[in-house]
Amino acid sequence: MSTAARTWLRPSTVRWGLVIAVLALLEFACRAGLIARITMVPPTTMLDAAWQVLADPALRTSVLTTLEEVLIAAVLSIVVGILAGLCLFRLSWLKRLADPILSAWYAVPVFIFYPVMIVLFGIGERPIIAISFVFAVASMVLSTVTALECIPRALLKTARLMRLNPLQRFVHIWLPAALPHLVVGLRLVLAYSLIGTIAGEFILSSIGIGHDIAFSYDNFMTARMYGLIVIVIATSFLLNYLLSLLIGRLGGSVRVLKGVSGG
Amino acid sequence: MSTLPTKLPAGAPASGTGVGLRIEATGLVRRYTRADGTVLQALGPLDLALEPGEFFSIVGPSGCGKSTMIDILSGLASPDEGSVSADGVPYRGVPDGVGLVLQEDASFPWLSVRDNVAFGLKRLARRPADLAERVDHALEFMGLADFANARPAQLSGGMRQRMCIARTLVLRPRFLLLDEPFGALDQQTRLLMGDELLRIWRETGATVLLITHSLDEAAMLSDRVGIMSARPGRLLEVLPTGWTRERDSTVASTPAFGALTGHLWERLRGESMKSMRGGV
Repeated sequence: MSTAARTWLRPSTVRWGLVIAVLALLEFACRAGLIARITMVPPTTMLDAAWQVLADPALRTSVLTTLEEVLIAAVLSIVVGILAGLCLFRLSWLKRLADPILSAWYAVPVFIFYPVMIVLFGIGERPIIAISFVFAVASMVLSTVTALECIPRALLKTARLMRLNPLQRFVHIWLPAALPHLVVGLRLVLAYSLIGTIAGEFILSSIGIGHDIAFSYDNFMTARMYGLIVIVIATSFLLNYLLSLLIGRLGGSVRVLKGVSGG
Repeated sequence: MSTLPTKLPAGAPASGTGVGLRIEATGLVRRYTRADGTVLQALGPLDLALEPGEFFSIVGPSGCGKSTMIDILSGLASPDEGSVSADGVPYRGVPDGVGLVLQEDASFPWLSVRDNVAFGLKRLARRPADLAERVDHALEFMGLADFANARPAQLSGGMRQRMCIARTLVLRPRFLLLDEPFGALDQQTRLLMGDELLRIWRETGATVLLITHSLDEAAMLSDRVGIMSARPGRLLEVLPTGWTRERDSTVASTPAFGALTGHLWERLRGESMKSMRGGV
């Protein structure tokens, strides 16, 4: 295969090529009237609508509110999830107790508890954060337990042989050895926090992007609805990108970490 | 496998005989409590005396307590009864000058080969001034200089094990414990690694205790071979091999080697049967 062909057939080139092709097709279909304007607007109009949303102070506040809720839920899930995971790892009886609950966690649609959250936390951001936290925390707990259980005993023995103190063991052995699985947990927490927040706002809230999307949908504001959807997707990509940067700073490149976990 | 230097470079792990520790274990007993509350005696009572600079191997049936014994001798575990001393000084916990190479891959996959080898030195309370030089020498000594910047995942199993040995050697142990270090390697690599181990032993003068399932390996490498009983492990017999210090894997082709391994198997066969019947 020639060098030029190899460049064109690189996965990243093909991926971006497919995305651009689909967007171009949608643009054409929308502008040619093959798709009704009430159903979908052309991608360029979506981008324009997203820009207008960000330029509108009221809607910008809405976006920032959602972002704040996502970040609070994610940080809470990470902190509580890691601590709970550590407890489950250290206390085998507690793990035996929690195992069936954690296994069934995602079999229960947590959004049915939203009314309970309103009763507990009132109206506003707090029930949204609570439902988002409940949705996300289990993935961090499970990832933490898996991460700790997957650390080879030989590494821990080596740490003891080298007479590392507890802090050195944590920093130089436990953390880097657990990082590949913790990274999976962090990614899931971010995804679940975003899903939980948007879905919570969508169903019952009167604030945030989720609510604005539902409002736009109910009032046939199709362009604005798609603009908001673009913002949600962009936020998701941005959060994942920032997480990758953080991982890079913590323990080397993501490529190496994948190697560690056998991926 | 790359060619290895035959001489220990200057500044490498301590050389010459006489630096090895004299190890003495008396009446070692170790018990475990099972999940159902019953007590299982895994080891002992076991007495063992290793001369300074001696190469001693232990063979025994599966589950006889070899790894438990090595955990106790390295200071990773405490005996329920008995004591261990180094040069006459009793110890509990990992003492100075003790190094252990495990059967399992103990490399740190997130570090380069060089950083793996330097890991223990960098964490010493008093970091040696010649750290880089010692690491370079250890890498060269173990034939890993060309792979210093590689990650462990890029190395073969034998090279990873050599890296772990280098990481232990760079700390200049006076008592080197090897728990089935070549267990995961193929036969040819095992033979070559055996020769390397003999070279390291000669050059460093450390006291070496090797735990192995391979009778050939024990007979080829050791000054003396200890045969352990089925659980609870005790020393049934200690057999001197009679090899000179300058030996290598070619001793395996001598008639004395055949007689030695034959005797080892004769003593071990019954114990292995007991272990199998005991469901170990």
